Amino acid sequence: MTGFATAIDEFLRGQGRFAVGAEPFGRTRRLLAFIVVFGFAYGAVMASFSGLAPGRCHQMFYVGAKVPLLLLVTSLLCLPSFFIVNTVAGLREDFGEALHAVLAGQACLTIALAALAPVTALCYVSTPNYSLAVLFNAGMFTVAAVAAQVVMRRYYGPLIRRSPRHGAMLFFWFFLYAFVGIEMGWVLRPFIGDPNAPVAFFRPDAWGNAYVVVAKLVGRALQP
Amino acid sequence: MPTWLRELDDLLRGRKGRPEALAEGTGHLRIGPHVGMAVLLGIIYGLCMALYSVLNRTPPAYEQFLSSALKVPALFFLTLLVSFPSLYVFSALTDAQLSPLAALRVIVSAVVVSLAVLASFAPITAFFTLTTSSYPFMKLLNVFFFGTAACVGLGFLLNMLRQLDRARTLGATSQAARAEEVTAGRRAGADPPPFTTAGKDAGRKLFQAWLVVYALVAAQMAWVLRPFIGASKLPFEWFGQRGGNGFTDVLHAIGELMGT
Repeated sequence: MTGFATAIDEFLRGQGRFAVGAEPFGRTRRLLAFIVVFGFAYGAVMASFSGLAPGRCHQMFYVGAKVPLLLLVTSLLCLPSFFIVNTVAGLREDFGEALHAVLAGQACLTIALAALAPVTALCYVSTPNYSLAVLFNAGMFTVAAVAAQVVMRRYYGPLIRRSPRHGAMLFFWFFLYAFVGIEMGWVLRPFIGDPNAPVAFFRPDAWGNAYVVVAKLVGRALQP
Repeated sequence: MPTWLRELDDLLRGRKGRPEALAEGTGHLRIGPHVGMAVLLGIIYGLCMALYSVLNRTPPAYEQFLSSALKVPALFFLTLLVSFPSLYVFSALTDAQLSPLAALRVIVSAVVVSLAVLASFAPITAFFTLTTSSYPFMKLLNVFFFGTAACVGLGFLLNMLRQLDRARTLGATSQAARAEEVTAGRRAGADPPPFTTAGKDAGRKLFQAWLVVYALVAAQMAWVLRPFIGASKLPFEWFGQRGGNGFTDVLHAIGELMGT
């Protein structure tokens, strides 16, 4: 347990085995562990909006499982393209470091989310408004994403200095990850859990497309 | 690692496009294995494209698997077949000095790179297919992925041309490469670069102009070979009716997606 806590501290400070340029042995496993543990922790808190009501506790386990699932499956889907495009750009030798950097960004995102979990819990205590809870969580994810940038820049910085093409690769990763991640998030709904809807791992209408919904909304808004 | 995979890896890493490798000519860019790889990669993506038609049609149109798996590689090679003669003619007219065979090898390599990028998008296409019933969305997603793959292939091709220039400056072209690269009629014993100094700029401009032709032919070829995905409301067909064009269809798909 102490070892795990030490690893988190080292990771956040970028020291020890997580220092830039340190031996990568065993780091990926730890990063994956951070994503699973802290993703689960924030997911459970996120679902506590309705999950603490009698008979709805399993909602917290569902969402706890879904947060790491959202991050890891999205990464897995984007990985082949990221690998091939990096290779074509002549950056294959650095791919291990690039992969470590994007995983580290996600690990930092989940740690930051877990650190913000008490704030989310306070928000839930303060308001029974479901829409406000959704908006608040969007805010928490945004703050955590900004925090993740610190780690991403730490690990990607030396790569970009080595070759500016890494900057384009990072942009490619962000674009692809966001594109797939938005749809993955849509498919894996609900994350917070509407108190008036029954508990479910997937919504009955989950197999939809977020972009089609947005396009139809835009189309409707543009109609005279 | 199997030999073909190692070849693909070398190509994607750019090892085959290094000036040192190109100084010996383009013989190492073997057309046969590259065509085989391109077909395989095209089949992988084609199968993922056809998944939409299988999942959304009642009864499922399994023929679409075969149709799309054949059509994706065919799109790239038929486009090459249609546009390559014009490249050869313009090339000869501008005295670009890149022999037809060498040009073909370089272009087929770029096709392999494009298809490798396209195949790497296959998991994402499959994921969206599983979660989406909107045909216009799938159409636009595939247009985007094909466009991205084509752009990466284009970048690879232009880089290869730059490396050929560098290979010329290395001045290490062997006699064997000379025989292959130099077009008939050049005086014996002269320096035999892929592009001569005089023809270098003309050759590059020609290639850039030809790429526009290639892109336009590819877009129209995709339209001629449609359907690749297969609309859920329509019965399976190998080829769509003649008429229309891909550009207006894309605009129409955007409108349809927005429900207008």
